[in-house]
Amino acid sequence: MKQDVYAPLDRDFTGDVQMVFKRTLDKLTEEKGILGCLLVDCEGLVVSESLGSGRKDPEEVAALAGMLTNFLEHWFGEMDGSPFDQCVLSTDSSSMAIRKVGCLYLVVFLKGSGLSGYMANIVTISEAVATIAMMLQRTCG
Amino acid sequence: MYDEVHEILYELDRSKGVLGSLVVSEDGMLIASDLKVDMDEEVVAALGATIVRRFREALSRIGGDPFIEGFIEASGGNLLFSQAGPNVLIVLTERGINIGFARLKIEEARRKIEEVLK
Repeated sequence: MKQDVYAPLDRDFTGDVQMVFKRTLDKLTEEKGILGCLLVDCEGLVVSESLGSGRKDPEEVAALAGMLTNFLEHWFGEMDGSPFDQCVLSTDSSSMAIRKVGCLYLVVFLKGSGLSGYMANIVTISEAVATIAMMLQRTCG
Repeated sequence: MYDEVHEILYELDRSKGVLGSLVVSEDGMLIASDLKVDMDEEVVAALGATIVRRFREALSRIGGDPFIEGFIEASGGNLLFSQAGPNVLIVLTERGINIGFARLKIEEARRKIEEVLK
């Protein structure tokens, strides 16, 4: 039976937040079609990452994601005040998805042409987002 | 030629949840548009072109292939982008629509636009 890695955290959980983030990202990266992921703060700094060795530079990806999300937050705020929730950029072989999770951003790299890789993994990504959001709520209130 | 593009956009906008669409050149010039919502099409065109430029820069910085399509979800609705030759097709939709279905319609429109503007 497949282990439910994204199951809600125990109510009395007192473990390390970083450990939960890392575990969630590692499990997400193990999913078929997902190349790696990382959690970034609004200043473009790495909170936790699971990009694998020899792949993209986490610091550079985080800085890039921070820049892109600041730009989008600014534009959407100017346009109609609606906060930006997520964006996906695709090439013909892979995609980069950025999902807002509280005060953080989850950046996920996916295989597949166009948005198809993202579409195939929406549920898995949403489950990871829910786990991270729950942990943030528990620690930040 | 531009009437043909407008006709394609008009057809696309009849899809459920689609609020409007535009075709914009790489430098943000509006080629054709059909918006069902009260928004300044020149502003949406400029914003769309700027976002796509940022997307391209981001992909090139992480060593990716060229941008072909993108999607932004905000609480007010979605913006979908599709590269149509040197131009970009931008589609505004309601939040919560079926993105998979919208993509099929957008892909069909994109192919036709690319053919017309070739």
